[in-house]
Amino acid sequence: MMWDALRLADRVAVHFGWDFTQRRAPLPKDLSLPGWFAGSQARLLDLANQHAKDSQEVQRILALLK
Amino acid sequence: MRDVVRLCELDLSLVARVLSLVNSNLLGCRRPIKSLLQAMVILGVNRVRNFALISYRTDRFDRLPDAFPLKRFWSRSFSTAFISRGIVPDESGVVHEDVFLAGTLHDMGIAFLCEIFPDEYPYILARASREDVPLHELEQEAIGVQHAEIAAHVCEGWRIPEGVANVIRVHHGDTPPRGSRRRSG
Repeated sequence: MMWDALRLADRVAVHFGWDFTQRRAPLPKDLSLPGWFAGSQARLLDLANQHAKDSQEVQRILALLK
Repeated sequence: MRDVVRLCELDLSLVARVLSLVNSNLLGCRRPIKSLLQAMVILGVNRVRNFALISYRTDRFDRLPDAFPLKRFWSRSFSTAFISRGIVPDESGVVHEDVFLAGTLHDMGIAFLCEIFPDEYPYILARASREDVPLHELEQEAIGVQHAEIAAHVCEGWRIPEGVANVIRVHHGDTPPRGSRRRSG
């Protein structure tokens, strides 16, 4: 499950253009979500926004670590 | 636990940074946490361990070329950490802090490779951006090793839980690490 979660999160980061190399690739329409993930791609992207970009938690951590 | 605290307290800047993290509004603690021991009791050893590792690691890449976008690098790592931890269900039995740690550290091999190959690696990064090719494929082609393998190797050296290192090692692979639990249904 950890492997699935990390790979999904990795792909979402690329999808949003957050990737380190600034590559950007849309999530494939046929992206298979693991069975334990209750929801659609849209929910995955919502969760991603909630837990990363929009939450500003990342920026807060970076500021604290300066 | 007290032994761990005593060891950590040998590095006062580390303690200060961990306490600043645990007292930030990231965790929503209502009472101020004044010591590492208190943090471990309230937050758990795993979470404090993660903060200590992150605090320690973020300023240790001191041989990186000036052009290396370190802030973007960590920003991307933390984003992945938050997303991956957020999508794992609470009832899964998976240690969420391990997922967070895997997300935070999974790409640190990129920074290590940039320190080890300061002349070659920036070209690999630039090519990945320019040609829109996955970085790990270019690494394999140019230097014969991928950042995931480097990161996993370092994690093993740090005695990070084996499951975390194994997941990091194959995060660009097509199959989960051997022996991992994969719930498909």
